[in-house]
Amino acid sequence: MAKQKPVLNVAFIGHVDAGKSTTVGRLLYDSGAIDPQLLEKLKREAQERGKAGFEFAYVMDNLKEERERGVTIDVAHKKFETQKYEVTIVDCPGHRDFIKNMITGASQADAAVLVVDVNDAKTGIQPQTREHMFLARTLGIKQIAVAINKMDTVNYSQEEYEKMKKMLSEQLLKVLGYNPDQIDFIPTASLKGDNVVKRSENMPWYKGPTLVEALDKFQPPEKPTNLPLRIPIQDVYSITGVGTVPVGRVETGILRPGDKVVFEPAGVSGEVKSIEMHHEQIPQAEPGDNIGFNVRGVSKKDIKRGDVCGHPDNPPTVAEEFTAQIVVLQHPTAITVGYTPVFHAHTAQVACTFIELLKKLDPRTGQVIEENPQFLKTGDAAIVKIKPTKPMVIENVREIPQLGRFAIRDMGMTIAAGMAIDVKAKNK
Amino acid sequence: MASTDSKQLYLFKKMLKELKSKKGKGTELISLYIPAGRRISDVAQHLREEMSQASNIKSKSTRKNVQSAIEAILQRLKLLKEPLEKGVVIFAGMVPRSGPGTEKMETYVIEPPEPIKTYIYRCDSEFYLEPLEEFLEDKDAYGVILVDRNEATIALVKGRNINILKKLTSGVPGKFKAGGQSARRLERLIDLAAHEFLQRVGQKANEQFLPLLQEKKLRGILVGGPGHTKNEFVEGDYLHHELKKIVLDTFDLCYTEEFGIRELLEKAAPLLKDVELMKEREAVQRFLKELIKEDGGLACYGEKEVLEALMMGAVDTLIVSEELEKYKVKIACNNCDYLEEKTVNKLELIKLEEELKNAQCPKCGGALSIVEEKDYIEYLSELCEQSGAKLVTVSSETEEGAMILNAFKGIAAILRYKIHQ
Repeated sequence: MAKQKPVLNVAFIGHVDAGKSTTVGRLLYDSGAIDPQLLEKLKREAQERGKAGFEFAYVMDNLKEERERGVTIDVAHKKFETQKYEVTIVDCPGHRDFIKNMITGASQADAAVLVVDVNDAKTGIQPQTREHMFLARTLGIKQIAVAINKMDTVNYSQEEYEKMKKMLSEQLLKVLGYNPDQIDFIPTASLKGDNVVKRSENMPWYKGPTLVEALDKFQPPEKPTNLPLRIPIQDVYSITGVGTVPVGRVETGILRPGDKVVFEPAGVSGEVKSIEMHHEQIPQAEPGDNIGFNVRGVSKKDIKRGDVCGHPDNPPTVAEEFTAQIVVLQHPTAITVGYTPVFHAHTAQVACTFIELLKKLDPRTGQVIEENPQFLKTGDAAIVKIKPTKPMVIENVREIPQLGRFAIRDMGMTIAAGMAIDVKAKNK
Repeated sequence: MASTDSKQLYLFKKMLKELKSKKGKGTELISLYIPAGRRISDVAQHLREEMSQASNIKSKSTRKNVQSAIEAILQRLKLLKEPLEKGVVIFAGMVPRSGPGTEKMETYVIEPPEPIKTYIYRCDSEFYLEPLEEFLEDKDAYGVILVDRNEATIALVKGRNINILKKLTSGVPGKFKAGGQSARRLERLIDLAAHEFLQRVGQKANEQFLPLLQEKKLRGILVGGPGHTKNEFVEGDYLHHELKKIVLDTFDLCYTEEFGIRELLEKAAPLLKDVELMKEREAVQRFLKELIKEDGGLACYGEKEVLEALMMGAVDTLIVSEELEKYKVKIACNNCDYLEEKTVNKLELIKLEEELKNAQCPKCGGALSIVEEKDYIEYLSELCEQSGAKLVTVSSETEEGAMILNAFKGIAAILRYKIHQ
């Protein structure tokens, strides 16, 4: 099957209950990707569970656990087509307990839609809105759109919309280095369907694009096909009659059936039998494709989320230790040698120890202000040496930027972000 | 914890470490545990019997060593006053200092921190320390169960350690896309798999925690994890009912692995106030909080600076790593009144002893010798007592301890007031 439209992976991010899943459900429904009959069924189920209004969210949240509580737990993927793209939607959980799943999802995205509740203008930016944006930025998502949701609850008031837009721009987006003038702020009411696919009649004051039009305004992602193959594994399935099927997004390089592949840090290798995207076989997978591929010679037990697949002639780098440039976003105390928080890189999460603080940098100019500092605190930028407590794959950001970035979390929050600038490999 | 407790504990530990390092040439090191209330004359009687038996030992040197060790203990026994309230522990034996022929009789009489219950006489190539080590072991342990649908970790928080006892992965299938009939079927399969997994977690937790509970060592169980699975686990019939009773609380966490435990400790801090680990943590956190204040706050680090502050009585809490292993030595001239003080670590101490053999007093040219060597932490704790400062020793095994040891050379302090304005 020849591909007609370029693929675009869009992550839906935002605070819990902002309406991410509902927006996604509405988007799919109005663009005809879901059967009206199915929605009718979901509506009944939602009512039975006493969660009327969650029917759109149920499209993505198909776990019983998720439906009962009305909270997304794990990422879900769904395909639909716009004028320009074949879009893979990555619906991320917003609840703070499931941020680790959100990071996995966001690491697969080319662009992100931030969904916020318009009522947040009264209470201030929600913590996970902030953290998700931090993480999106860290994971290298440059293109974003903002859906200011639940406009129906404020009578489609332009005033409330402007307030929210101003707060987000000034308190969050500018701080992170996004230019608010280049971002679409779309007033939506996902439950009612305003401005998601159909232009709303309730908001004649809004002249900008609808959500679907905003997706079409995104630039197609670059395809670093000339770099060595890297597929961070998101999940592994064992399908009866087929075999082991790892799932993940191709970050760099090209994968074809018949290729010999190796998984690091597991260190197992096998041969690719077939590649599927959205239940369709494809002859080759390129960067940006969210694929499942059948591998012979590897069992489900051998590989797990966080492993990276590559070709044996240029396998993914397993770091013995690495040098990184980091920025401390927020930390209640200080970071010193010996500190061991969790590092999130691509789909992996590994606790790593700071073994040396090499240089403290001026965050604005990048100049060295202190050699071998004793400690780091909020706002500091620094070059540090890191040692993973367990084997993990990380690449030099200059060679494979997609696998060189990471976020550092501790105590339930994202405390720092950074990239690996030198990797001491264990397996090369 | 008062500084005296902390000091005593530290010294006790240090002594154990020292005793542990002593090895005899043959089976000639004697360990004797005398329980509380035992008559000393009975013990002496038993020792004399042992003495006569020892005369049958074939190896000449071992026989001689064992007999003289028993002799040494008998002499020590005479000095003890009855009744023995907590009992007493005596170690004696010929311990070689470096090579053969350098053996020296060493005797240690130790008053245990808690009453001794059983009489033990043992002759071996090393001292028998297990009963004493048990005293050190913290009695209060907390069980930790972290669970979500993908994996679970069962761990024990005890004293200064976090022991991961068991790690489980579930194999519960994730999201599916199939619709219609299959959706129902898959839903059932997922529920079943989740149920089975929780049962497995419960079983493992029972295996690990029930024996501890019977020994009355388990103070409580903390359950944590993302989402609702942990509540299902606690409310459902997965844990043994005895264990269920001591579940203290559940916590919302992002992770279920090692770092989940850290997160849990953070959140459960008020519940675990009296666990050794938390005390260390709290002191170090307080220090770090002061450290990041714009003007440096009340934090003070570096040996010289901390000592200066201690002398001034400005230290509120002194944080020292147990791994410091430094000694304060006094070197004096044998002829005149020359006196020098030095702080050295273990390796340097041996070197210094060598050097002094050839060194000359800078004043009169006489021979120099070490007149006093004192453990540095002991020295610091004395300074602390003088100024009423709190002493916190941190182990190097914990993350906080490692931070103090590596980043601040093992010594840091929180001040009462700022010294340099």
